[in-house]
Amino acid sequence: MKIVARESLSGRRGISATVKDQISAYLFLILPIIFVALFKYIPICVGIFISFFKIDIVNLPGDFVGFDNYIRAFKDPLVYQTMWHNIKFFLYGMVFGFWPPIVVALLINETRSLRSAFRIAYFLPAIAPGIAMTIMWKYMWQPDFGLANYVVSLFGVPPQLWLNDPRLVYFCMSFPGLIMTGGMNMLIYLASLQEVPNEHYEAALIEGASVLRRVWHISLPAIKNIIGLMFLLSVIGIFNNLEGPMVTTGGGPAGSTETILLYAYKKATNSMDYSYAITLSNVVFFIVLIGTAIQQMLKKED
Amino acid sequence: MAAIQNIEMKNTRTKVLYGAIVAFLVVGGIVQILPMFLMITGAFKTDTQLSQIPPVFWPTGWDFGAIFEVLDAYHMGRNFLNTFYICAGVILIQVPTSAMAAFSLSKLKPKGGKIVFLYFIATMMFSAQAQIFPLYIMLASLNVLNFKTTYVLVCSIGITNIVLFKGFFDNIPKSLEEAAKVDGASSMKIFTSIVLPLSKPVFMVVILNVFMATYNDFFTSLMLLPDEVNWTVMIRLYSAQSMGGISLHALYSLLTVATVPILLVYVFAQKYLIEGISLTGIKG
Repeated sequence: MKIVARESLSGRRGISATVKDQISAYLFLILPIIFVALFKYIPICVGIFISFFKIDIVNLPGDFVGFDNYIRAFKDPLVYQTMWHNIKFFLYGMVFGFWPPIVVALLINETRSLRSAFRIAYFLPAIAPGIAMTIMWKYMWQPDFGLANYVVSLFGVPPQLWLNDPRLVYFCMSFPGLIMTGGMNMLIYLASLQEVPNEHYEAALIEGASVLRRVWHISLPAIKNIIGLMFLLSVIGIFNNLEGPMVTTGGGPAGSTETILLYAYKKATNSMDYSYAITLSNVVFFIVLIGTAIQQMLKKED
Repeated sequence: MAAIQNIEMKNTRTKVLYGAIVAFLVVGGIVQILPMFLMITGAFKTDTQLSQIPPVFWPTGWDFGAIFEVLDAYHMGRNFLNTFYICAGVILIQVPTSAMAAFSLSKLKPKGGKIVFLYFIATMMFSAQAQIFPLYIMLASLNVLNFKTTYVLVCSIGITNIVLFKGFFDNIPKSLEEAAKVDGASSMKIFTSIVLPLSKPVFMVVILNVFMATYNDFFTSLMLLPDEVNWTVMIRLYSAQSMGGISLHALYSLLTVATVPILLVYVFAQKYLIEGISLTGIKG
């Protein structure tokens, strides 16, 4: 009898204890749940809502216009043009910025006593404030007194207009990216390269594999997944590009480096055309969302 | 480990190869460091030196007074105060709330915890840049633009940090908390007396991540804090150069001073900084 009573007592306590546990567990979660709703999910709804209106900032939300904003974007040649600029930035980034960090990481991995010195040298510009380094590079390309014209003059090349030259501007803007974000990527590659056990290389040496073959068959496969991931991340980020062009050229010369979000930003700030700016940013938002969703699915399949 | 084995270092061909690698890295490293070098030394050169061709690489003197004059003229003191206020606010809200949320998801495992976690990480697919526009309109219509507190609240959620914390807490052995539970410890007690003391490294990494992200942030603060009194260091840099008429010495001084806090962080917390980058860089 005593035993039964105690059991039922503990059973009751058990139930109320679990309810209490649930409540206290959710108390730990409540603030982030609210913040995420307020600043992540609600703005999307607001954005979608506003894109169906011709917004009037004094008398919100203004007139309902249905899909007019989207139809306007669909017909706007500047939308396609600015999106093509985004893709061009991505392609230049692939040619000038994507592979060098991999090569540098593989090379630094071979060094011995100098390894940490090289790591600092290549990594330091990557943690400096992006805006500061971007502005610094803007002045390196300056045609009158910038370092770039001095460097090419050493090789007998006549002075160039760099950022003011539509043919060179993409190169000029991609090159700093190699130095700034390249250092970060190099560090990530290097971290996984250093996890490869020495026995693998030792075994390959005994088998008589050359240094190049060892790098190709042991080092490179060790970072293969990260290279793939980095590639996917830069594909997903194609249309997010905004700050670089905004600070370096403001979209110039003659709008040749204006990206889609910079176009949206200018629509919002210069002509107060908020509904259209938000419609464009919605388009970017959904492209990025779909891209990331596909990437996540691919990752699960691995 | 390195592909070139130590025993091979004796033969000449490997020595030449190794020398070539080092030489290549030295040249690349100079190119890599050069912009920063020119920026910092530029703060100590005069305008005539800065616009000379061929360039002057080493400054003739180390005049700190001129730098302070520039900082004064551009109200950088105020900008630094704003930036540090924001950084402190974001760290003070984001780090505890993220840690507690991760603790709940990892250790208390409430019903529906998996759905909450999904609700969190789904936002990692959102384009932060594209989201600013509707957020801006939302905050403008509520009349809360231009408040540093608004900025702090908007930035007070970092999903990557919840993921980092959760990953760390998942690895704390269950037996520890179970022992505490038997002794009748509350969830809060388990969090503060068992989980927290073991988690110093992950806290360091997260605090640094938040500091770096907030300090370096540009576009969000430009949109949410348009009034000059609220400008952060990064907005000052942007506006100082985009308005034109700034002397080269002034510009390089501003850029250099803005970089100093980051360099200090690097010097004093290099280990956590690098760990944070290799942990979060991959997760994006």
